[in-house]
Amino acid sequence: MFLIALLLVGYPLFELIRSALAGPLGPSGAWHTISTRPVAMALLHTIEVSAAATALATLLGVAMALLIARSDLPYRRWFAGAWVAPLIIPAYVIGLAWLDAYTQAGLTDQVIHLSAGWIIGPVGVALLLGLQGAPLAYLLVLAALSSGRIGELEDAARIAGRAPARVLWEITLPLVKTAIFGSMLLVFVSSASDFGIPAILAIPASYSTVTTLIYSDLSFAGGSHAIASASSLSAVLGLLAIILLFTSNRVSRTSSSMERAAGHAGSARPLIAFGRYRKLAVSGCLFILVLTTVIPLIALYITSVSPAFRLELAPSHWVASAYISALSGSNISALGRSALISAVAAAIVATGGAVFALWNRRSTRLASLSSTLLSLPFALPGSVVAIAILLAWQRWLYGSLLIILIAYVARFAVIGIRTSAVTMGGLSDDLVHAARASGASARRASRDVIWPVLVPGIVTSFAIVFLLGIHELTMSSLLYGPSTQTFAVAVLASEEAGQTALTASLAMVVTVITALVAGVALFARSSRKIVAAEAGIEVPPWQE
Amino acid sequence: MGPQPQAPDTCAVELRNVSIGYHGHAILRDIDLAIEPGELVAIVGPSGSGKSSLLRALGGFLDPSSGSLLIDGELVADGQYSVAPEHRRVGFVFQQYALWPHMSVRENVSYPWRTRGVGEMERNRLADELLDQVGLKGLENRSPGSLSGGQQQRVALARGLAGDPKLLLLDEPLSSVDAARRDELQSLISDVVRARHLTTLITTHDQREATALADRIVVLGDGAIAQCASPLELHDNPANGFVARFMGALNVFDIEIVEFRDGRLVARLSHDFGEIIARTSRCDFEERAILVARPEAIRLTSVDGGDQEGIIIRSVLNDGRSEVRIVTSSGVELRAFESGMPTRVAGERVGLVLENCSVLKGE
Repeated sequence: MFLIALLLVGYPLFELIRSALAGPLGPSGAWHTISTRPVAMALLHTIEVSAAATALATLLGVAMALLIARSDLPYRRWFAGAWVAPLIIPAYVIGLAWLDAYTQAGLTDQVIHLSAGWIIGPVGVALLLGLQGAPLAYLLVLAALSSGRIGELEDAARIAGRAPARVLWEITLPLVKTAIFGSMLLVFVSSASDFGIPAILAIPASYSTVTTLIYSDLSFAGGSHAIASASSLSAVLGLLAIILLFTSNRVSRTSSSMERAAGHAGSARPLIAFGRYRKLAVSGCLFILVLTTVIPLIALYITSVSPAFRLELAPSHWVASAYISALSGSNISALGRSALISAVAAAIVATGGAVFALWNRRSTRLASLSSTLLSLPFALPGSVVAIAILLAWQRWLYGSLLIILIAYVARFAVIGIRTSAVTMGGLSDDLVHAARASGASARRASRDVIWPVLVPGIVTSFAIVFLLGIHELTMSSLLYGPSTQTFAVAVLASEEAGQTALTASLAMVVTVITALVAGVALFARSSRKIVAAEAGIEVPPWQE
Repeated sequence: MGPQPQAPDTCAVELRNVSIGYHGHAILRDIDLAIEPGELVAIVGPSGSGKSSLLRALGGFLDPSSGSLLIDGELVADGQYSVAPEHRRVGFVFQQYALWPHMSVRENVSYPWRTRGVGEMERNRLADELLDQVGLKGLENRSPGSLSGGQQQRVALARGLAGDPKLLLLDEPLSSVDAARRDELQSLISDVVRARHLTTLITTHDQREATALADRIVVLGDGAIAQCASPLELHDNPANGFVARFMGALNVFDIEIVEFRDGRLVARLSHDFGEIIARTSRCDFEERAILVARPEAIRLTSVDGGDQEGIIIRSVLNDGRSEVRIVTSSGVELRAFESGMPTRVAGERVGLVLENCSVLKGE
């Protein structure tokens, strides 16, 4: 197991660091690369848009969490789910949908003659990254708000005579500030690592970020110089991500003792009472959802069924030709390829995670080291992982499906491990002891007691990894070869070729697949009695 | 059902010189214990005294570092050799129930028969019969998670009884059950194991539970057996101050004996100020000792009528009798029981006679 962790993660990261420091250019060369004008600009741009996105995501996320946990907003339960739904749609699909909805000749331009050309460029990138980050911040802040005895503390302040608004300001927010800070770091890292949104919205505006620069270095420049430059860039990005995530970990650890303290959830009396403005509040929330998600998806759909190069509003003129080419030729084989490697990677990750969890039961130092190693690629930006894998394995596997599969397994391994570890956590030694005392041999006890408990976790991680694999753009776009285009890469290629209808229909296909898999997974989960994997992974994957 | 009564010379459980260690740290040292067939034995002791380890060693989840463990006259473990848990034929009831979440109540209870190759029809019938006996008829198809804590522990009890075990081990079975259900479960355990003449070991940190349930109580302290006796014997003749305190004695004092004559003992408290006068039939010690004064044997008299004088601090209702807290004129605090309602008033002056006290070896 440790050997696998070493081959999958340790060796590639070692190669990355070696190439960054001791490549053809040497350490001074690495510094030289970073300080050149295009690279410095890209770094600056990345920090710029990530900071703006973080601010927006935090504001939105905290507001959403307060609305769900502390207000009398009607249909709160429904909204609680609706806020996070966009998380399962790939970022580049959202980007494409916004293009179709709000840019010139887009849906709103056609219907009410309003368009927002600035969506292409830094403002749009920051806005969409912020909207993508908001659910992350929302989930973390919501968890902090609903745990511990914060509710009780708020009640105490109200008894002491404080008005709700001041209780929010003086009690609630200070108590969840560590969660807010932690989510800010997380959103920043996920924004800086994102490739899908800049690929759609920044590249056309010639606005470069670190991830798009890595992509263009590798895709268009080529040669050892480009690889060295890309690896120095990814080393910097990786370092940034690790430092921020480490800080966020430390922050949440110091706060955990307080936030995990057991207590009542507090009174049912909401701090934010809309009273007779409840309908207005609901309309406001609905408006935001419609504006950010519903209209773009509708625009995406209309684009996908319109004849090429023209948005057609009348259903009688809609055509399916884009779908026909989306589901034929090279596109369908890209879809098949994506489905195949995603399924294989998901199967490896899910069963491997379970085996790993079993091995980890007797927690040894080697096991915990392996688990740390295997969780690194998920925390690191996809581009960094892809470059590392490329440096390590390109000699033998360049341009093959296998190298993409290795990247997927390395990046998503932690999902299988954590899901199984959570399921295993619910499995006390006594359950096994009870089986042994009942006359079951060690082997039989694991078959009758351990495996059945692990199965829901295996199914869950399979579904999650499969979806992430179908969505995967960042790593595939750096690793694909002439005959190994994945589906997301096909979408990007068609966008770059300016085929709007085809792009939209490809994006619709991936959205429908996502909805189907998520629906089946939800159904399977709710139909099962054991939801041991409920906690799953605490941090939802950032967008590919 | 249940094992046939054994020949009287075979013990149901025997521990010979058993030591249990964990990471080189001894939990139990040189334990000798023999349990007769059909006996219900409670193992009590403060937390960390090794009572769970003792039970786990019998179940086969923890191997003794030395000594031998015998179940039904058969060696199941010594320092080197150990029979696997599944071959020991014991029932085990865990503190946190340990019911398998993916199996129904019936599947949980029938599992011990399933591992022993009993057909589905037959084992379901046996399981349903057991579930009926523990008062869970009608819940056979439910999932364990949907039951209350008390019900879950009943399922765990039924599973412990399933598969005709030679020995039933219960590890603090009542400590995660809420107080209201505890009495019911306590009598249920007592009823079902006695009806089967099933040898049973139960651990608890609650001496009252042990007293109510057991034929014999083993008090563990400091990695060794402090005393092993019937509940009555433990109450009347605790071996030392630790046992007396653990068994819930209220007035236990470290004393230095001043004088003992004609059943009247005059003593000074060792760690505190104050003098105490007690009546006892025996005092085998010269200097340091431990005095146990039973609350029910403290007689309250008129002010001049006692061996010493005291002032009532307060009296409260406790289990249908009146518990009186008194401080003697030399500053010793005592608790006494009187029948009837608490009628004593704080500040009232009384005389005190401490009858029938025990004097134990000092620590």
